[in-house]
Amino acid sequence: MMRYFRDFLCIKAVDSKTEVTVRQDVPLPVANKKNKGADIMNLGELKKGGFIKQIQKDYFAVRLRLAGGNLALEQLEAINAIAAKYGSGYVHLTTRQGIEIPFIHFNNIEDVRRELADANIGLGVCGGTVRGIMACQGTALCSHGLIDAKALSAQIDTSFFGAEVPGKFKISVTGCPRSCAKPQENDLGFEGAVMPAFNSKTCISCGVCAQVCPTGAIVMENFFPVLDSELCSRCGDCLSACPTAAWQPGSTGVKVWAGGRIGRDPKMGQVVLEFLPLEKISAVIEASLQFFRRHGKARERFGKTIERTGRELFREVLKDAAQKD
Amino acid sequence: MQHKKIDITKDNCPVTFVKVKLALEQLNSGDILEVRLNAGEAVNNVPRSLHNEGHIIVSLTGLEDGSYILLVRKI
Repeated sequence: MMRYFRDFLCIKAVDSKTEVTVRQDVPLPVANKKNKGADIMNLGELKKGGFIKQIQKDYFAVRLRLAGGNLALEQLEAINAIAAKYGSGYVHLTTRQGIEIPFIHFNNIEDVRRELADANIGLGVCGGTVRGIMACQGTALCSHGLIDAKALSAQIDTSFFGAEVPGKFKISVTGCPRSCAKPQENDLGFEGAVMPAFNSKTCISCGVCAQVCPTGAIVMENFFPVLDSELCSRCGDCLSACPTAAWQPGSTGVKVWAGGRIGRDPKMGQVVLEFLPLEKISAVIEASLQFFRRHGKARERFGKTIERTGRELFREVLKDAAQKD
Repeated sequence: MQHKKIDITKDNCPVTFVKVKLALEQLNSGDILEVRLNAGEAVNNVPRSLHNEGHIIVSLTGLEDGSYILLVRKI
């Protein structure tokens, strides 16, 4: 029964000969009336992951579900209490703004799962799924932010977290081209973008916008800035530099990156849509996941699938999704 | 009505903004502060930060040496 249980965990068991038992006080796993043996082995739930097999026999790291690294203090306190009660005195901060509680004994999995659920904390995922959504702080507090990256990551989490696809699928949301949340190294990355709109009434003709524009899209003519929308990269630097807020956000959306990954074959993602209105993001994610399910091989990363099937085909699929009402 | 001048061309961010803030604190509402500041980071950030704090940007003029003169009225 134990082996059956492990086989469905996302990280295959490392058959460690050395049994490092960190918590001697935890009893060995025995199916009894209390843990109900077979009840724990709910395959459907285990497939979704969240419990990662450690090299130490019968111990698991519990991955938590967080979006954009957001955690309310009450949740943080609950995690602290659970880790103190069942873990080994620490938590691990993951590279994707998540938290894992290591050294949860097999016998305590049900209790941990229940106590996390009581505190309104979901379990993470592994394997071929949409992983925890990353985000920077965005407009919540950053002067460079062009979009509310935190709120957007929460929406994406609600709609797509854990969705099953051929390989791991990572999504990141970043507020501006500074790319603090690294959209270029995710399977799908959304980068805040804004089309500037000019209000001549508050302009004091200082020319700072023309000087700060990285693409030379703004030139001063007759004391006022003139924007070439073809050249504009929608970075919003003119908005944040303008001393009188004469430049205001016009239409707000995202630049879409796709196919990025690290791992054994690291590749930067590529821009697949220069500008996508915010309300079209869900449609583009859905179309991407469908594309991946249709063309992807098992355990393949999305970028590989795009490269194999042809970048143009994928761009066409996305353009269709972005144009649909 | 006071008209005070400061030069922050030798300073780097965020000292530039801090110096302007300190200078403004010594003025009364409606007074004008004249700031000489560099192109680039200083002019891209300091005037806008003052605007965000509610002060009035009266003018911002580029000089031939590449620096700028900012006139800001304290709120």
